Amino acid sequence: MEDREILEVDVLFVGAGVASLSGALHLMNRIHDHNETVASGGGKPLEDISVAVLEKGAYVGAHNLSGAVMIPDALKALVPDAEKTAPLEAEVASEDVLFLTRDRALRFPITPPFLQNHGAYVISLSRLTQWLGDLAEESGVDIFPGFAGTEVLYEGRRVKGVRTGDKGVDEEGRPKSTFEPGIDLHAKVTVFGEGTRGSLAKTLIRKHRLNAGRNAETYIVGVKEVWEVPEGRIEPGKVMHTAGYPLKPDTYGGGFVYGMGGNRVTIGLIVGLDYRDPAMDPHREFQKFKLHPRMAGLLAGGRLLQYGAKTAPVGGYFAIPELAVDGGLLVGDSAHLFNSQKIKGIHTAQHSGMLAAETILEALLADDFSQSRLAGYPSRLLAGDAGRELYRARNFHQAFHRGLYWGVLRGGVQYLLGGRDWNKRLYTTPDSESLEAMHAVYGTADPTDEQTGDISYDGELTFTREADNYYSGVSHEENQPCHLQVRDRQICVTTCWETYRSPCTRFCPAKVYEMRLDEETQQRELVVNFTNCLHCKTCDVKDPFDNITWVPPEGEGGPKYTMV
Amino acid sequence: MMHIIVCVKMVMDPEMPFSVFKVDPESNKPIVPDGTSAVLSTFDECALEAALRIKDGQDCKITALSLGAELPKSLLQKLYALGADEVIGIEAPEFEHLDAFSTANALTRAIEKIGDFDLVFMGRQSADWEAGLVWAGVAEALQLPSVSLVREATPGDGKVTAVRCVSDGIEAVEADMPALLTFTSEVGEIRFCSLKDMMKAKKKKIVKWSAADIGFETVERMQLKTLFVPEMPVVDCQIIEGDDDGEKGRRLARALADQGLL
Repeated sequence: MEDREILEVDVLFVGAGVASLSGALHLMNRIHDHNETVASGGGKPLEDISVAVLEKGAYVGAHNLSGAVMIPDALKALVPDAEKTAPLEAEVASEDVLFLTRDRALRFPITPPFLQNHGAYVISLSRLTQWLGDLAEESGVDIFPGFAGTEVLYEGRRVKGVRTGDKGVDEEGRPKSTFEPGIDLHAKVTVFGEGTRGSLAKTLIRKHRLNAGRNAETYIVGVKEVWEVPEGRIEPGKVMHTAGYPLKPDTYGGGFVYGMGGNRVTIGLIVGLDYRDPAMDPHREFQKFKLHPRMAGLLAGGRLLQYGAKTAPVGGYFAIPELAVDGGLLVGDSAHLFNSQKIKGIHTAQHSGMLAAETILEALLADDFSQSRLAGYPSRLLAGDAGRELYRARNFHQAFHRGLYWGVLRGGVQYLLGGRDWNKRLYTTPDSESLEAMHAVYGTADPTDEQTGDISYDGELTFTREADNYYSGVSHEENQPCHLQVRDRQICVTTCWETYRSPCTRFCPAKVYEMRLDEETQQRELVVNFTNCLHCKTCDVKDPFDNITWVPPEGEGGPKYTMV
Repeated sequence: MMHIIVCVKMVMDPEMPFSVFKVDPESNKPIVPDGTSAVLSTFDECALEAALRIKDGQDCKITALSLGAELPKSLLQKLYALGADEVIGIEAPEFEHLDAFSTANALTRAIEKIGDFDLVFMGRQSADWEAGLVWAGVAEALQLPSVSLVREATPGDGKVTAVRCVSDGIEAVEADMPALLTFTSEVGEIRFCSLKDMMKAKKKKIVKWSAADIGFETVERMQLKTLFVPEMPVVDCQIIEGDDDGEKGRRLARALADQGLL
């Protein structure tokens, strides 16, 4: 590889999500405080510290999606007047937990304490992220949207920065007339806040074996839409969580409905990616969720505004990797800091970014970026509110391994015991290993639509993946190398097809994967429509042969979220 | 040294899904949805790229000029990062929803204020209203020879040679400088800006003028009667397959002809 241009910064954050942006902003605030203290009391000021944030999306917030109900504790600590100035949709006003059958909704007599959201806010994560980005820029942070980190740079074992992706490369990897080579960004400390299943975080964790002895990472995928509904249909701040229909009892997950401002409602379905049924299609199940009379009534006469999907890490406390290496830190979803019991990760991501900033400040003052110095961050985190909260939920998701009813019971007992289970620690297996053969589930390799629960889409209340995808604003430069790297295409048409009937064609909420059958030769071929990709990472997580690796496409490509 | 002024409009991202776009029926104005960010108007990017190509080959100064009610700082900085030598932003609330005549007036005044120049480059039309009128107004007011729909411009010796795209081919014309040229997408895509240039751009000073600085007056001659979002047509997608591009092209033409669309 030829030598790249090198750019030096002091602190580099990869990925402009809430973890990185909270960290970058907090770091700037803390440096400012420090310099003020020094000015009056003496000592060494920190001058001209450059803090840069890379973001693969076209703008800050473009790739950020969540439910979302947010606990505002971290945000208030970061921006004291946030409740007045931040783009919060509504304070949670009322909440219901419902158990759904196909056409009925039974209200849980009580809302489980961990699903109580008093004092929390319904937000659009995309909007909040954009706002945080503006604040960070005002504080002096340099954010670079449209630039993806594509490779971790090392000096021995020390992380010394990241390389940004080349731009203007054609599908065969040849430079086009617009070719612009990526550069090597060097930093004293690099913070990986790429979000769920971070592509660089993944390589860093593997290289340094940061997950040795940990539980396997495990994920959910959330598929959601924002609708505009007739006035008065739902109050802002109304929060509804559901269990049951359309998911089978052995599948982890549930629906959510949140009232936003401006007669808008966010509606979505979460599906645990440890599901076993190879015919599972999370997008289809979400469409069925909207057909439930309760949801259909809510949405009738409304119109779809935006669609999106994203995974979230639910492995919990025991799946958190080591968070500090020489010259590098992991924060937010990339660090698996997500509370699966509350189904919330925004506040924990923010806490992690801010605590990372505290440690980085110390490291800057001591001019020491070694693992032992940076280990101050995980110590702070795990001893703090966020760590204690994650510890209490440490066995929650695992309890659902044997299905909903068992999980509710066991999760409930755990809650009462502060997270303790009759086994001290419940283990997990990777989501890529949980699929059962089509034949084992349905007794045939080709189940009927009725068996798998396939439906047709009406284009009013329910949409095909292609139609829905249009509402995500997704686009990618067409003429570039495919960013969904399929290691062995032979497996796709042999073992995978025979055993599972190509689950990638169903688990992807953006219909990136298609199997084409050549009528003449009867040969099957996998087609990867990468331009549809919503960057949700489901394929990277769920492929039963670990055959798909998600790498960042040319910067700016991907969805254009504004309200999800 | 050659001096090119490139006029760049900032528009609502035309690639946003249409569902987020709304029109206020009372005021007949589009509502910019929360969270949508503006982009450089597509054809104006072509104009800038054409100017940058000239600068690649000779000593040349590029002044990027933008005008609007709200000009995002990040986009003004992007103009520097792409290679403009000076970026002038004229921001004033009265620039919201200007008609073509008022816009032409404002740009004319601004170009006069900049003074010395050899060429004015614009996109063939904006990516939002797509009227394609402003260039003609500016050329007339400044008494400049103008060439529209250009895909390549070569200045030299007091004259500029411009290759135009016309319906049945191309046409090369020559004009005395100073002249005004408008560019089409045939120029090709604008280059990427490097991260290093973006970083440098953040430190460059953006020249800010007000409406009064250029002596702007409204000369509104057009009035918008109604503005509405049409019903989404039902889209039936058909994929034309073929062994090679030529085959695909022939089949596409046949399919279109069969449906009476060609």
